[in-house]
Amino acid sequence: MANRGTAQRPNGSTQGKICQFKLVLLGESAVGKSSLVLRFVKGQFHEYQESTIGAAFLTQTVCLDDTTVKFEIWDTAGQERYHSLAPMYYRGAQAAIVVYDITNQDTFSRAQTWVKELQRQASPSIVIALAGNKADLANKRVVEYDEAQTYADENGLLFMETSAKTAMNVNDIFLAIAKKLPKNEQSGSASTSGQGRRLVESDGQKAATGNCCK
Amino acid sequence: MAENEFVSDSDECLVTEAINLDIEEVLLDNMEYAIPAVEELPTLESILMEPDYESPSETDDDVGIPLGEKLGSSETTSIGSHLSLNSLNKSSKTSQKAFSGVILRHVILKGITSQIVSANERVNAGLASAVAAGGNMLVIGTSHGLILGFDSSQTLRWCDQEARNQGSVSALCFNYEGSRVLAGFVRGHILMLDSSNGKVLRILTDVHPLDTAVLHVKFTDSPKIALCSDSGGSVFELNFTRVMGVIVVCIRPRMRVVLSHSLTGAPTAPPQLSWQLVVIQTADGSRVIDPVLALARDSVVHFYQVYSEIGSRVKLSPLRRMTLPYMITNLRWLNPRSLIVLDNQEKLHLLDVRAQDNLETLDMSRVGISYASSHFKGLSTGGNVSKAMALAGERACYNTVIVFGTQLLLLGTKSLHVICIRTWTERLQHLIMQKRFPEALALGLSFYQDKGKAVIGLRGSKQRRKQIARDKVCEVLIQYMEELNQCLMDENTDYDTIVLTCVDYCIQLENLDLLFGKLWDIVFESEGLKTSYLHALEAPLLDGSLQSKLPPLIAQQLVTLYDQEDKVESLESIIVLLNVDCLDIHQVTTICRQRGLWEALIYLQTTALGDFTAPIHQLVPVLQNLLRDPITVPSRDCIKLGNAILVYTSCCLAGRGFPKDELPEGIPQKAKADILRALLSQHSSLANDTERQYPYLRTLLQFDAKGFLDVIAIAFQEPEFTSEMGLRQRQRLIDILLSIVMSNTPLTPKNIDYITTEQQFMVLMFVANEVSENTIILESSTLKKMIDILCIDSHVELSKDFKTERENAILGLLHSKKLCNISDHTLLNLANRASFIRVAELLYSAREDWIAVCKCMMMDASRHHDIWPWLENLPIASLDQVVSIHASTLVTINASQFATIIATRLQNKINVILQSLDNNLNLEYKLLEALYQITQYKEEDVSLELTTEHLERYLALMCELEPKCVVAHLRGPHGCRLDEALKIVQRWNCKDAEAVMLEKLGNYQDAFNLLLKEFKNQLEMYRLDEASESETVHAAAQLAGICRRSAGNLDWMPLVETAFRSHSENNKQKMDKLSSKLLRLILESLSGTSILSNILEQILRNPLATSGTMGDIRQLLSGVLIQSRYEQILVETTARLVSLELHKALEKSLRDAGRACGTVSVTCPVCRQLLSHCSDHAVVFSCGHGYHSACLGEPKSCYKCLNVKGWAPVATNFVIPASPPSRKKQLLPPEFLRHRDLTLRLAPSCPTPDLEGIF
Repeated sequence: MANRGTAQRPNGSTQGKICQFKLVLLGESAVGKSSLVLRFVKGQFHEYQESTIGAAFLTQTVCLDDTTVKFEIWDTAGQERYHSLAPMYYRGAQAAIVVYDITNQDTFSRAQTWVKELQRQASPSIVIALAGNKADLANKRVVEYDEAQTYADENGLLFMETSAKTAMNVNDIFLAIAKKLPKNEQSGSASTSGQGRRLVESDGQKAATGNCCK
Repeated sequence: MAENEFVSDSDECLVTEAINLDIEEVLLDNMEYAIPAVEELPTLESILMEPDYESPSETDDDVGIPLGEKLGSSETTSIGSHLSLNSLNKSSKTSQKAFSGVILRHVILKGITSQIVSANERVNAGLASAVAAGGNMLVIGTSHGLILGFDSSQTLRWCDQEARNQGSVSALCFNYEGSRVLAGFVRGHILMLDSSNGKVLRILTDVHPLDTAVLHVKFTDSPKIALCSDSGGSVFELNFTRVMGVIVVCIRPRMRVVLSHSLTGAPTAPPQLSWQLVVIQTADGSRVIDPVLALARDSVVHFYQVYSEIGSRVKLSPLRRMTLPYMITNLRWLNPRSLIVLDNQEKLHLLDVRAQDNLETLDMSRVGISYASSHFKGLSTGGNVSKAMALAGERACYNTVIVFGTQLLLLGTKSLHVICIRTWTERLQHLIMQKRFPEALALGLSFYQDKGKAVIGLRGSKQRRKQIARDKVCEVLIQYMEELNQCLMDENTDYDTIVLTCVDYCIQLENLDLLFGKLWDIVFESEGLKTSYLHALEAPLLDGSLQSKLPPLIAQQLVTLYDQEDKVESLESIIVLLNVDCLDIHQVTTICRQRGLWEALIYLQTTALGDFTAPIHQLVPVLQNLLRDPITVPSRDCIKLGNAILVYTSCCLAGRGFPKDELPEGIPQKAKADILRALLSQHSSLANDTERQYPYLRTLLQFDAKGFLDVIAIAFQEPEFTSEMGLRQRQRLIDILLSIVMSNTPLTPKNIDYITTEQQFMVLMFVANEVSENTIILESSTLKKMIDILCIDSHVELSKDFKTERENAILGLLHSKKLCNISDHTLLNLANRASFIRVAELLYSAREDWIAVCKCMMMDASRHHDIWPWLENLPIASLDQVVSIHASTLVTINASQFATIIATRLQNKINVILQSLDNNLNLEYKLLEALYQITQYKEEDVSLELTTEHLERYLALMCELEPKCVVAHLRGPHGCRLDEALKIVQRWNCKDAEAVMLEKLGNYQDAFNLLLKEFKNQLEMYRLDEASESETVHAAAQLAGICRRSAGNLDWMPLVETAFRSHSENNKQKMDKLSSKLLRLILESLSGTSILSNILEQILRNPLATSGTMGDIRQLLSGVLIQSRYEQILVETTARLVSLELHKALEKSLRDAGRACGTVSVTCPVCRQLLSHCSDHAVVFSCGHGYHSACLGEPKSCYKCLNVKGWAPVATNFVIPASPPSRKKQLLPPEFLRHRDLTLRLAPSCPTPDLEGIF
């Protein structure tokens, strides 16, 4: 499904597949979710990033071998009052990055709550990454690397310490997710939310699903 | 596949089956069946259909391959396709291409055509003259009697020259199986051939009269029976019996006429007949398959349904009639929905039968169609045919334009052409090849929506067809989209339209994957295309044809675009429409804040976050800031925001969604509670120390107190405010409102929190209303304070004082008895201060101070009509008081109503009342007039008699105030003493009235003198142009009237003299005119009262006549003479009319007498005996009642018809007749008629008098 001929795309890769994934960022407010995404998508960093209202939407494409991975990123707001919005975004997501601030212990415990919530509520196949942001402020570190790494290992999470300010590990964490995501099939599970579905059905596909049209 | 056929319920399949009954080959038309039979050669059909053969999946492969190449193998040429291909090569712009040939495909069968040509050249076969097709063979007859047999690969299989000397082949026909061919010739031969090898099986030489040409041969469904017709006009039935080898020809077949329909039209128009099995929808909705017969001549087509009733009787019922704008030369069904018509211009028309549309027209003139006119004229047999036949054959092409399956074969003299309807895919392909994408899409959509016409090849159940069509159209759409890629390079292309079309069709085809997938990917590359795409989404989003859920990226781009383009209103409506989960909330919220899209913002906050308090907490402070702007008039933005908040508040309080829809289950309660909590916040979240309590309520009141109170009023109807707990909430809200508007520390208008008096009023009125409705309770001190504020001094200047509303509020409180704690006196003072008249009235009523009440009522013009019923119900003593004090005002308000009150209740007080009018003459007069009217037009319950003094007073006042009415009044029942009345009118110098009075007193002379004097004055004034003519005439008329009434007691000569003398003065012409007028008037009024001769005498005796010349009185004399002549004629005419009438009456009675009349009964109704038992005579009246003449008294009349109560005939002298009278009694007229002269005397003839000259 995510598989299609792209020969006519002048600037796209002439070969290979395009996968589209929905990714959601979660975490306490002011841990640097928006900065992380901004760094990844636009390569920018603002010292005084305004706080996100509700959720923001961004897209970014990364190339991985012969596959083009297109991320649809939902950057959710960390403030408590927007918490009720989060399920709407992680429900159909294939990947999630739970962000905490290494200089703030509370944000780490909050991150753990998020992870639990994701494990309980989100799709079972969701790829979860844990990002300890603000690694540039290592002198103010409160959450130890090993502590986080252990937690990540226990829960089967990808883990990296990142810095949106210095761009450390930012692209890496997204690439790591892209690598871990299944690319051959079932990316259509994104279509459970009805979004991001790209359909150019081949005849074989049609035969298999029978009547796929309304 | 066969199952498919049977299971489906569609028309098409039924039709296909229907055709199967008829023509086997039709199956091959269906591409799904196009499997060449193994043991047989491919049929002609299949070859013809080959280029059309394509399944939707293969279509792509066909694109780009010129159709001609495929056709080449079978030696056919598709004319339309070739043309289009050529034009394609020539230029890429094909939009100007002619539209013909889209539906119909025109093909020349090259193989057969070349064989016809070569046969003519090599063996002198002549030109082609007839064609027939059946089985897998096609035979062509030529003008020299050759018959050529072709197989389906257009190979010449045999050639029959048996009948070379029989002239042209005029008719050909295959039998049902296609194994036999009948051929008719112009010289009368009929041959039967084996269609497989051309062997002659039978030669029929003498089946019809000699020297007539065979025009038609037809096999019937029965293999043994065929029909033929000849140029003599006869039809013969041919019976073949195989065993005996005998051919029996029934010259007179047994026939029963089932239908006769005369087809009118030009003599050269050949009649047409064509059958087709059609699915017919009956009136009750069921469907039947019946043959439909199309009859046509000239330009009219009639359709008949053929059906057999029980008992196998065939019936035809007319279905419809179609008139075409051209003359029909040939008419054939192509399929159950399509007729093909050849007109006399050799143009082929494809008609949709249901819609009666002309779908396509093709010019066929290049075919050179072979006509059978020479056969019809019988040229080879000596031309012994009727004129009608010869004329009808002028354009006959029955055997050269035939239908085979769903194809039309057209035989030219040297070629054979085939026309068929393209399959639907082919039609689409045809358009795509010419790059006519919009047309292709429109056509495809019509297939998809099952609205297509002349659709061939789309089969299956309705759903399946829809599915197939959709897939195909989507393919077309994808091709069209790919055009976009190319048009990016080309600046001239109108890509905007293409994008719009693509978006539109994606939505109509319900293919959102294509819309949001492929199409988006294409447009995403280019800014311009993307803009067009996003614009194209707006309309379908707003009208609901597109779902409200977009991919987030597209939604984001859409919002960005509309923000950039400043289309804020569209943006707002789109945001409000879209699902929250596809919106970038951060982006949208930011834009909404910047742009002031408050509704959208509130929508986001409530829908996305379920937070109903946020809009109040965030937006009311914004509103507050806007209101504090020093500009006195609130800005547009401010009003927009304020209204949005008010509507939102109202929606939430009513438990509805904002800006539309309902809230999901369970949420309304939360919304109501949240919004109320937010509104009633004591302080805002970012309060500073100076903020006063309840900032949100205060701000909303400041913004629009009325609107806000309306919102609350509506909310108060919800259960949240009507239950026991709800009433407490209500009380709390009201208390808070009161604390805001009646704060203990009053604010100056300069303070930002100042509540204006108007707003205060509105809140207080609202509260008062609540108090009156018993929903809340207020402390009496608060209530007092409230009343005090509401009863503001009426002298205080206010821009809008809401006086009526305030008064109503207080009235409401009074009525619901909420003001018991406040003393009457205080209230009255307050009411008077605020000039609340009705409140005061109510209070005075309670005190029974009727005079004050009446005063209050009189002060308010709108209450005036209430005074009278009120007065009527007032106790008599109070009434007396009230009236004596307010009499003059009451008269002013409505004198007649007042008079009625007096007449009914205060008759004895009239004098007092009149005196109390303070000598105001006008009022007195008005009242007297009203009272007088009551005496005149007495009603049953009012009886009033005015004293003479009152009446005379009335007369006197009238003379003074309304002198013009006096005369009329005096003529009527004025009720005054005559001498007093005379005195009064004399006193007021009313001359006319005086004259009337004098006349009434019998003093005609004085009256006359008085009027004469007036008249003279009038004349004088007229002479000096001071009075109008009509006034003078009126004066004269009055004089004449009095003369007339005096009936000879007066000498009227002075009048004549005056009128007469007037003309001798100067100002001649004018006076002349007048005097003649006056004279006529006078003479007219005098006529009849005195004898004209006396008048004449008097005139002559008059000094005027003796002293003046004759000329002076000539006019007078001639006037008199004319008058006398006129009178004479009148008399004569009257006499004549009387005698005429008499004559008529006599004539009628004589006629009646001569008429026989019968009795209704044989007994005399008087004596109850038989009429025949009669001693004297029996009398029968014209009414039919008969009597014994003896039984009738005198006068003789029918007492039954007299209808006089109690009348009975005198029957004293009645004697029962002793014996029946003899039968032969001589009939004598009855006694009372016996002595009368019954001869008719006619009056002298009397022409109608000519009265013209007189009048």
